[in-house]
Amino acid sequence: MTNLILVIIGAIGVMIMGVPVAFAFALAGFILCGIYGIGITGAISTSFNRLNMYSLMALPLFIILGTLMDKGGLARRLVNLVNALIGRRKGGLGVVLIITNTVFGAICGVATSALAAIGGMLIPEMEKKGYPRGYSTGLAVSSSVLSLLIPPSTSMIIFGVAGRVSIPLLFVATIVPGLILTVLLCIINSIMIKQIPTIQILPKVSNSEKRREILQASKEAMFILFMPILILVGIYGGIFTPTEAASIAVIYVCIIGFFVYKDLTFKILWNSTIKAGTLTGSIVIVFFFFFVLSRVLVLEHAPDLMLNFLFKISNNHYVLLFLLNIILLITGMLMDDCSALILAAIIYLPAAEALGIDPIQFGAICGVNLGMGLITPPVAPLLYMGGIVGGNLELKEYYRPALYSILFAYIPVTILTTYIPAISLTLPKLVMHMYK
Amino acid sequence: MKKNNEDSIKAKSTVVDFLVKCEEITIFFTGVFIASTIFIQVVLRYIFSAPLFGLEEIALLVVSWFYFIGAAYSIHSESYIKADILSLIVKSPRIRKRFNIASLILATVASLLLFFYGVEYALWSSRAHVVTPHFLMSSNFGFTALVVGSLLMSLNFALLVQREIKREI
Repeated sequence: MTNLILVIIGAIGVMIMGVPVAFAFALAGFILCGIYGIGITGAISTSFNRLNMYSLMALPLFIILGTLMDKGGLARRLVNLVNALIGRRKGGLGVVLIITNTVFGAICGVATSALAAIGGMLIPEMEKKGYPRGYSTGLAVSSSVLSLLIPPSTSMIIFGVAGRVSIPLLFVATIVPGLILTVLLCIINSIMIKQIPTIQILPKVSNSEKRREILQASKEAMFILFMPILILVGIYGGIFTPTEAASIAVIYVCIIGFFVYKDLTFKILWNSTIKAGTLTGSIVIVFFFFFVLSRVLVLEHAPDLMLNFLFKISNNHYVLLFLLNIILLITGMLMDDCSALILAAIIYLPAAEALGIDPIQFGAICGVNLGMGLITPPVAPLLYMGGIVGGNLELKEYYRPALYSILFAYIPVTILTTYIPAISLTLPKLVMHMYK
Repeated sequence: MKKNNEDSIKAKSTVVDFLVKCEEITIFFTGVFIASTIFIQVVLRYIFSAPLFGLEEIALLVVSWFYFIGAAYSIHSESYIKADILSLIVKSPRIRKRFNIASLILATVASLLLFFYGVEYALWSSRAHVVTPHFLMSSNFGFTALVVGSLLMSLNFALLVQREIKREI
């Protein structure tokens, strides 16, 4: 056991030093296989076979969809529609940013694509209307996580594959937490904009002109709005699996992008596929090596070790749930969401189940908690990406809205999801009831 | 002597460019193949009521190439997943450079080990004639992606090590 702990500490050490996460897991896995006499060749072939899952194929397809939405100009039409609906109020553009991220989440579920596409489009637009660039960047960063909570969600695909939990049920488990977050972010926006006097209110237009504007934007976004319906009705109507829904959505986006909107070119398709391949490859290699490592961890009863550690601190159910969240929070702060989700699904999930938490609820807790990790330093990929999307801003210029959203939106929603199981379990139960 | 050096650098860069192009082509065509294969299967099932038996099996064999070549390409484009908190703490560029070199060497070793054990498994699998359940195709087609991918990963890491060593502070 001492060897195991030492090697894990070593792996975390080299990870912090800069060794790519996947390869730090690989080194730890290979060393532990050597120490405990487990055949490395066997561990590699088992891990490879675990990757050969039909459900995992949804991941690259949803990532391709996200990059196509971003690069193919489809997100622009979505922004125009939400803007026509609610953009004319004071602070309306902030709400447009949040709501568009939610709708974007219902289409593809890739936070980086949401931030690049919607943030990249709305931040300059908001600046023209008097929003400080730092404020809109911080808001874009905080709300881009919503894409990971509104189904289909790449996070839940990763958690479902790693923890062998139903992906369609995980998808619906994060809907309510995602919607509560949307409302809380809108409230934070409405409070914060009161302190920004530079924000302009767009001139009022007549009802008929507004109707015309909405009609025009709806007509343009009609084909995109059909996508979430296609995906969700397809999955929950029992027509497609999530993987099939993702492939249909990719082909659908290609058809409307090439032949209806005519914004998509072969070059965009090429670049989007390469970008998606790069992103998928970097996630799947973490999966692969963590599967190698987890073989040793499971054989050496690492989940039991963690459970014993938790029970040594307290026997109170509520305290244990709190501790589990703290561990998740620290994991999310030190790792990217993909690695943290794989770790949570393989190592923390058995401990959570032993504490009486439903795996679906734990998936939702991980979704919110580790989503928050994406904007919580030191390892906060979305937070740092926000600086680039916002136009090479320094962190001090845009951290404030992100910090407020962590304190007054993400932490409360994590607590609610943890202590009120109905928030994450009502919809999955309804879905299961439909198929009884 | 100098001309010989220049020629060898040029030849190396041509080989690297060629490999990168091969990686891009593989990612693009496998990505398009997976999306269209699954789409075709849905169309065949719901519109023609005649799904092609085992089409998913081929998609699963091909997707391994998308995963592992994608992983190799992520190293080339330096977009792999990192958690290098030390670079946020250590301010000295010289020390940071040393850490970077050490990290990349460790990653090269790990990917070489994967290549070595991958080859060992692939050889065993060919001798044992492991085949897929429906089409009885050699399952090595999918596993070869891991072998080729890990070789390309090692190469890409080695190139990053070389570039980091040459990088002036």
